[in-house]
Formats: sequence, C-alpha cells, structure tokens
Amino acid sequence: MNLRNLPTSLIYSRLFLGILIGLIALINPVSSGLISTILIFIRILTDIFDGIIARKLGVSSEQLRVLDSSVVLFFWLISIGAVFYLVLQLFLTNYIWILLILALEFLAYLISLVKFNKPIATQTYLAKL
Amino acid sequence: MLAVIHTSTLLFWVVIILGCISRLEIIFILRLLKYWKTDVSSILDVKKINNMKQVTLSIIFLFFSYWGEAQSVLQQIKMLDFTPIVSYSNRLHIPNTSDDTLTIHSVGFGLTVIERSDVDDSYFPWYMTWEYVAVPFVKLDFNFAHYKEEFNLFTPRDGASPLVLSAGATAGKGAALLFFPVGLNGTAAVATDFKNAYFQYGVGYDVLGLSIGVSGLLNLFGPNDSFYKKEVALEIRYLINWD
Repeated sequence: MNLRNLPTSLIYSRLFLGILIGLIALINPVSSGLISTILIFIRILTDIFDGIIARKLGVSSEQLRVLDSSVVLFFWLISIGAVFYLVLQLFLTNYIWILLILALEFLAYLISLVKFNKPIATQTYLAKL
Repeated sequence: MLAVIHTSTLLFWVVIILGCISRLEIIFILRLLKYWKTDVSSILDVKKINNMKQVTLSIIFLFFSYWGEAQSVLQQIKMLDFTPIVSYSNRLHIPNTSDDTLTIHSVGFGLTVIERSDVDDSYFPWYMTWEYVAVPFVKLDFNFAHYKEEFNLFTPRDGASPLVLSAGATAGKGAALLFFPVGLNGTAAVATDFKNAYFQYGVGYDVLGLSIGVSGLLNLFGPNDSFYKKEVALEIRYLINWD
C-alpha cells in the first residue's frame, strides 16, 4: 500500500464507520450503544490522524480537506439517523435542540454555497469536538 | 453524539452547547472570510487570512460592544446648544531681523457649546442684561501676512504655521442702560500652531456676544519671540445666535 494514500484511506474509513453504525442500529439495536461508542471513538482518532499524517507526507491538499468535511457530514447524518431509530423518545424529547444544531449546520452550508459556491472545509477545532 | 447514545444528561447538554457554538463559529467564519478557504482552525485566524489589521477588528468589536453607550452619548450631544464663533484679529509684527513691521491678519471659525446663557430684555429699552458661558470652544484661525518689501511670512520655508487651533472657554456679562451697553468678556484656552503649545488669553468689550478686545498667545514650553506670537492682537469676535 502506498503510504501517500493513507490519509485518503482514513477519510474513507469514516464513510465505512458511518455505514457500520447505521447497520448495527438496524440489525442489533440492543448492543449497538456500546459498539457505536467504540466506532465513534475510532472515527475521532482517524479524524485527528489523517491531517497529521497528510501533513507529514506532504499530501495535504484543499481537495483532501473538502473530502474530509463531506465525509464528516455524511458520518454525522448516519449517526443521527441511528439515534433516531434507537432512542426515538430521547430524540422527541429534545428535538428542538437537535433540530437547532441541524439548522445551524444547514445554514453554514447554505452560506458557504451562496457566498463561495463551494462546500465548507473549515476544519475548526471546536467542530472536531 | 456519545451523550445522545448513552442518554447522559450532562454530556447531552455539553454536546448540544458545543455543537451550537461550533456551528455558530463556522457561520461567523464564513461571513467574515473574504474568500473561500480550507483549514481555518478558529475564528481567530480569520483576520490573518483576510489580512485584516487587529485594530480594525478591535474597532468593530468596540463599535458593537459600546453601541448602546454611543447612542446615549450621541443623544446627549444632540441636546447640547452649539453656537458658531467667527473672529478676525489683526496684529503688527516686528521681525527680529528688521526694523520694519508687517501686519498679520487672522480669520477664525469655530464652534462652542453654550453652557449657560441669559438675556433679560423685559425692561428694554430702559434696561437689559445678558450673560453667557461657552465651554468648550474649538476654533481654527488662519493667519496671513500683509507683505512688506522683501519680508515674507507663512511660506513653507519660514517655519511659521499659518494655522492655529485653540480650545478653551469664554464667558461674557453685560448690561445696557438706555441703549448704552457695557459688557466684558474673558477667554482662556490652550492653542497650538502644530509646532508649539500656547496659552491663549483674551479680554474684550462685549455686547450680546459681539466682542472687541485684545488677545494673545504665550508659549508654554519655549521662548515667546517666534514670529507673530509675541504681539498682542486686536480682535473682533462674534458668537452667532448664542441666546
């Protein structure tokens, strides 16, 4: 495996992790909580290290960061879907707050698309949390 | 998300608050960025990216922070009683290098805030009184010399500035008996010709803000023999519509 492809592979791994979380929620709802937590933890590690590795290898690029942001969005949408399926009551109880975050995320994308005609790829520290 | 899955109340709220703050930060970043950019670690990087000077951001911050106070100050300023001042003065200048004299004319325009004023004309024409206190006033005088022979002043090379900016206070009081007015005013100010600092004084005969008197400049930090400043001027001044 070419090491220079490692950051891209780590980014795509999050796509896979997201799909996995969705599938586990559907197939095994009882134990999906713990497994999803572990998968989310792995996702955070890949998010941290893809950037570090990309910079070390000198392959960090604008394209890579846009891809990263798009995959992150996909991952979180799948995760929210999983939560909605697993703990519907929690979702319904706190739907205002969850919708608020989704609305802010949507607004940010809208501003970026309208102003720059490009998606968000800011990679802020706060958003990584 | 961890919080949502585990239904932990504390973590749930941490995630919600962090989620909102982080999205708001991104929105502000996108609004402030002049061009599209990836890898913006935080909103603090925006000024670097936009090449904005810190002072600009500070001004924006202060503007929004103190908008309320600024409105209040503007409201107070609107309530002040502004009055224009115009003046003309004339002095004879004796150059150190010559026995000759030349006349220096000064025309001044300014603005003052009438702090207190009163015109009592209920017994006019038998008797009337007036008084005013104008503080602060700001005035800009433009000097020009009436040239005589080879001697020139207020040219770029001679070192004398044609402009004198002054700020201070003036007050006057008087009475008129059967159309015969007697009034007095005094002026104290600090002034600068953008080279030196001066104390400006003035005393005049005052009739309802129209004054004829003398004024002069005292150099605060140096010798008082430079150019026109050592001589006392004859001054005519008027506070327009002060009552």
